[in-house]
Amino acid sequence: MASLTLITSAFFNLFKKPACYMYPFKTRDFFPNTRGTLQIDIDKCIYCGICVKKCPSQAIEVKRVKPAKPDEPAPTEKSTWTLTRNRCVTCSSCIENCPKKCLYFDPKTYNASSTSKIGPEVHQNA
Amino acid sequence: MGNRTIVPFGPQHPVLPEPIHLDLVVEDEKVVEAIPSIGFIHRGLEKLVEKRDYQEYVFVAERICGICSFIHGLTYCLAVEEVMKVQVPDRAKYLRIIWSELSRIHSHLLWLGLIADAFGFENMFMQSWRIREKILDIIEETTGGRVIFGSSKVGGVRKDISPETMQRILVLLNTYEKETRELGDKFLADYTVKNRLVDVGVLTKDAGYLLGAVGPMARASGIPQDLRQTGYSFYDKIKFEPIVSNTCDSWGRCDVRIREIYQSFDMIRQAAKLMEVGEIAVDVKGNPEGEFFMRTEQPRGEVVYYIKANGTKNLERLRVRTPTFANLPPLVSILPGVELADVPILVLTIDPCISCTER
Repeated sequence: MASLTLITSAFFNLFKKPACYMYPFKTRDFFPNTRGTLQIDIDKCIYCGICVKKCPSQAIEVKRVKPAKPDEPAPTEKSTWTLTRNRCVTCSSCIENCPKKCLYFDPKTYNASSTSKIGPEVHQNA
Repeated sequence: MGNRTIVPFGPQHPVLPEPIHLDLVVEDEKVVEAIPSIGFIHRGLEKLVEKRDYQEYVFVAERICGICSFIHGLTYCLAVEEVMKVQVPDRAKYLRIIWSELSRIHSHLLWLGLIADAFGFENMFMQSWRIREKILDIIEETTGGRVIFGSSKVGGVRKDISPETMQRILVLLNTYEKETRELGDKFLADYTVKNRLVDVGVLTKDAGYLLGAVGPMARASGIPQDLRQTGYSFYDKIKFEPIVSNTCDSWGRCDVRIREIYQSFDMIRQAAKLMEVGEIAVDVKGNPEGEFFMRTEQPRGEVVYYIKANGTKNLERLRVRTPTFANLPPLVSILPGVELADVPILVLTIDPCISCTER
């Protein structure tokens, strides 16, 4: 009977745990594989530009400054790796093709805002 | 003859997941005629194929639609692989089946929630989307994204599922199947649901065949057509029968989709058992040349990808014929004669995915 099903399921629901996460006391953890935001370990980068070629949405720009020869003065600029985060579609083409494996996704910053008001992010060696 | 008015339905409407416009000619609460207009979400993605090379375009193909995204990417990869005569490894083919069926489960659960919400059954909407969240968690764990998987590439797949993860997923899927069966059976047996759906929007088998209905819309009218029987990507190794209902009405379409969810759970189990350790992709070099029609089974029906390549790295032409586009004439034919309040239900029984329809 329908009313008996209703009463029994209502009774057992009193003792079951809640169906959803009790946010903010418990947060949902992201998985290791989750594609969050693209990050770079800039000290390992050799500015080869492979990530620029593989990116389907032209989100990365690399400016490589050649190191000075022994009898020349040191260059005034540093090589830079620039990411326009709004264009990144988290396809992981750059991560798969990077020869030095310095690119990775950070799942913890999954919700970071990536609007066009925040300009391109420039990374360079310290 | 009563008063005729024209009621515009959409493009903004609470039950519609995506914008479509129908001009309904209504005479005293009964719909006499329906005139559809589409074009609100056209993005020119077929033109974009001339600008992105054939390997990069997989990412665009996946973003044609949010609900059926994996199978769009898969069909594009299958079409280019046929043209370039690429042999995809066996493990990649089974992984593609697993992700396709997970995609089908999440799409049908989404649809179940929407159609329950359309006639006010909000509890069913919340429960089915709760189970869908758990399926999306499995997809996120294996591919990295909940909606856009990003795991297809020309030549195979980009991510692998380890045997331990696969075992854990199969155990979880058993629990989810039990919960889904409880929901689905209760939905189909409910008195109020039957009152709203039985004998509403009848599409006879001959009309369905002549108008070109595809997918669950056709299978609910008794046409046993399921593109997975053509055997692409190792579907010929999976034992299944197309799910057919002979009731030809909206209730039959709901029945077909709900039973397809149960069938997909079984197909994932079969694929996981047959899958062996191996490579997941091959390197593809060179440029495609030739043309090919690829047809696969999306959750909504048959999708056709026609590609034409001329030896350069960009394809010359891509044409996508999506199932919702094929189901629009049957929709327009079943609308006359129903009450105005049944129109949202009928629009949802074709499972409209308008962003695929106009790329």
